[in-house]
Amino acid sequence: MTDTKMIAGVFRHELQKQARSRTLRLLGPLLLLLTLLVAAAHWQQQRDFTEMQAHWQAENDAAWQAQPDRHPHRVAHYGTMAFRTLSALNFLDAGVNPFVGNALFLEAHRQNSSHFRQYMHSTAYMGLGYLSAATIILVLWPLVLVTIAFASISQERERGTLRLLLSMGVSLRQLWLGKAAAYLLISLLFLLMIFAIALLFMASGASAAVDMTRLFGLFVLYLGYSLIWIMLILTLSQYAASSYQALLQAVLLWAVLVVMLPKLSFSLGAHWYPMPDRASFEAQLEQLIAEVGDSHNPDDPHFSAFRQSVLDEYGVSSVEDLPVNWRGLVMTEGERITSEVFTEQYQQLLQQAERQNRLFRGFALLSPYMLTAELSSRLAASDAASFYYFEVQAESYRYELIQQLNQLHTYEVDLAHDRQTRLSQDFWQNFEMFELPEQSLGQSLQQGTALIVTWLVWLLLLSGLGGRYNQSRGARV
Amino acid sequence: MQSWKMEFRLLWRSRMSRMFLLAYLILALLALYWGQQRVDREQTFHAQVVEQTQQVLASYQAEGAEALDPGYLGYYLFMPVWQTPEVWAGVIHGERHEHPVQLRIRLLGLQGQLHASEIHNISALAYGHLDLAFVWLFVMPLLIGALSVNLLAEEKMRGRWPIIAAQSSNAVVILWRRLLLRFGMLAIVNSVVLLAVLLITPVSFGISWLLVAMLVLLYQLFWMVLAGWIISLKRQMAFNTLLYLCIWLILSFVIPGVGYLLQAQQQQAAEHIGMMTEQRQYMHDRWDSDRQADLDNYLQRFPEWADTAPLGEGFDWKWYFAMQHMSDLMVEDRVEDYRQQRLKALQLQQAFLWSSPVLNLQTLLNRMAGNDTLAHQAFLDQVIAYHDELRDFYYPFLFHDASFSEADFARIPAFVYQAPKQSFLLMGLMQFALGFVLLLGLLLSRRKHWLESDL
Repeated sequence: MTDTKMIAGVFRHELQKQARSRTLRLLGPLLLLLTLLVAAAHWQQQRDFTEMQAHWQAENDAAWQAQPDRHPHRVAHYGTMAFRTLSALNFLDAGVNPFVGNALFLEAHRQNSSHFRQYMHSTAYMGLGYLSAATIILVLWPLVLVTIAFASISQERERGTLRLLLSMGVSLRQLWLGKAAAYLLISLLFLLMIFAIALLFMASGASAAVDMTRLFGLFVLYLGYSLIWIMLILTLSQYAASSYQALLQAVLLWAVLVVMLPKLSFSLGAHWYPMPDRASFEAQLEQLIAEVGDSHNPDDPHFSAFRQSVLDEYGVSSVEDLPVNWRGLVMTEGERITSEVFTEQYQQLLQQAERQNRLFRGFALLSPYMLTAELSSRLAASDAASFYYFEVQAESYRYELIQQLNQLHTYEVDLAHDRQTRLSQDFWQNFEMFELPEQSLGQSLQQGTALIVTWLVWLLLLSGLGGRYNQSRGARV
Repeated sequence: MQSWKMEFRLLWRSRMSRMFLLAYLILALLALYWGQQRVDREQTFHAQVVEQTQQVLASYQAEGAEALDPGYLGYYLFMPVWQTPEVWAGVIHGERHEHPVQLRIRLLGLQGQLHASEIHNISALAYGHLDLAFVWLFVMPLLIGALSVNLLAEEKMRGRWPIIAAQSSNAVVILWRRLLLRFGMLAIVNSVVLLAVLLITPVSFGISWLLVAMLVLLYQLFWMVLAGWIISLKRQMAFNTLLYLCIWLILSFVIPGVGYLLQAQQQQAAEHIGMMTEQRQYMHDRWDSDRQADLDNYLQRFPEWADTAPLGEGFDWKWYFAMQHMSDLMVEDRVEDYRQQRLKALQLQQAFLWSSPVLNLQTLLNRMAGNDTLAHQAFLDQVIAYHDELRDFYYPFLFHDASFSEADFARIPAFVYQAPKQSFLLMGLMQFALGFVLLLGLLLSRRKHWLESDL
């Protein structure tokens, strides 16, 4: 018989065995049902949430338009809201979305933090991970694979059938590949069903267009992840002293890679690279801004120098003689300082987080779960970077908006009647409202090359293992 | 006695058991150390904020009380409020990371100041950090499973059971002895951990320590009994392991996850954004409306400040802060609704404690540590009351033109958190007992396997 035929024979035989086994017939549908229920619930919630956010955004925009004639600085304090819309694939992989605030109030002088999580109920009771389709695939599916595959080679050995098979000319490599192909097909069917129904959901909803590349990427990722586990389990099954040992080792491996390592790496990260809390961060920010210049203090050295430079520029001797509004200039300069200090401090925060993440990525080299989970949330655009992306975009929008208003203050409001002046609402009715440009796939995968490469190395290394071993190389028979 | 000794030697000689117990111990101690560190860091942050507040106050003081405009102080002075951690906070983090436990509050409209989000490494949120509670709740059951679920099946598989059974008139006693021995070993390891709690954290020996010890022991017992039931099914090792694992996953992953989904289903997504937007709309509209009329309205509601002079031409702080306060009152219904929904969600959770001992113990522990929704809501309520105190301090200067003196700096009220004392212990234990009785029922249905040597 040819190589392919041998493999196909093993493959068929293994599938028949699995089709007869009660384990898969029981676990498979149950897990599928759970996944679909969870995905459906998340889909529903995602739609409600998107609708509500659109409602608040519309209210906010209408209220902005409806502002009466106002002093531009009043408008700057009135500010506006920015909402972080969930990515279309959030219902498959919620990533960080359930844990972060999604509404951000943008106003003059201050950089607020995002308020209000999607739901107020605590997520702290899900110690093994947030229940979503992705977590079920990434956390539970490997265990199903363990269940159906742990004995695949060890049992043949225990029953003596391995020797028989080998004597019939089936090589160990063919046995491996045939069995792996069978488990991969089962995984493929499981994933196909989930993704088919996910597509149905998405076709039914009028929500944001889904990037099919992302969806396909997720599919490939999960399939590859299943293959990595299949190979890990087969390796254990081949080398363990008994089927039971193989099972125990596989479960232990799962517990370490999926449950322990991610938590350990972030706990270690927080220990080595601690981050401040919001209150101390803001207190420090205030201090730093005051050190640069205090616009409320008439004798402040920074603003005295600033005044002198402006006076020199216009060739006048007092701010009252300026052709522009001095207060508007002070506001502009104040906003510039606040924003500069904030951005610098915020970058330091992000750097500290990045140090923790580097540690996480280091550990992730050891854990296909961590690698895949990270890539999965990136493909679903629900990763941490997508949140920072929102905050950074919102802050740059805020800064532009406030400075535009300060410009109006400087050029359209007369200093002598500053406080009494109201500018026509026409001035800001034409301002563009906040819109979050969608992240491209390339942006999502930025600095992810190492992750992808490691993931591929895992995949290739383990897939290659199946081809390398044969009887003569000392595998247990 | 002799046979106990032998069993102990057997257990100790098994390299795997020793490794598992040791790994568990190390993990627990690490979790304890890191967990307490997180709370210690919080303490440092609080000290920093207090110090910064003192510096700001000192700079105002240096400029002189007479020169100070109290309205200006109310606008610019942030006062720290802190949900002070209770003694178990480092051991059991619970929901502590979900909301900022330290805020800086000023005299402006309060609702906009309460719902900020805490600074986190966002990537870490989905995985969470390690604390001792996690090790107890999620890792300990795995250890128990590894140590005991195959006590019988393994001996049978190795063909040793007939020999062992022959040594005793009732072979079941040997199984009982082995189970108890494992229970005892784990209890000793847990005691070491609990003693370390006394050393590393502010917890001192007393009722609460004994209670936690008892809860941990009960929890350990639950999983031991579950393992015992599985043993009594007399199936093969793989079956036992997978069944145990399945139950563990359902109790610790599926039920809490489905619980969250159900809770989310009860709520309208993002509805509380209205608290922020409506308040903001109100306060900004006030700048364009009749200020004296608005102030009169306010004074009608708060007659204790009614004997104040009418507003002049320019900007007046008393109008400003009255308007800010009114904006809080405008969204009072929404705030109350938010509060009620949180407490209702908590009640719903309490009603389902019987469904999973993991959820049950976690809820009880979070309550003991003061790191749950109840404590956080109490904190918010107290901050609202504190805001009233701040107003009472500032208003005489703004409404009655009292002059601000040097001594007044020391009179600015400080916030002290009072932890709520409620306990769900009884309710939780009763529901735990319910689950336990169910399990014992299962066990009793197989009593003949446990009382006779027919194994």
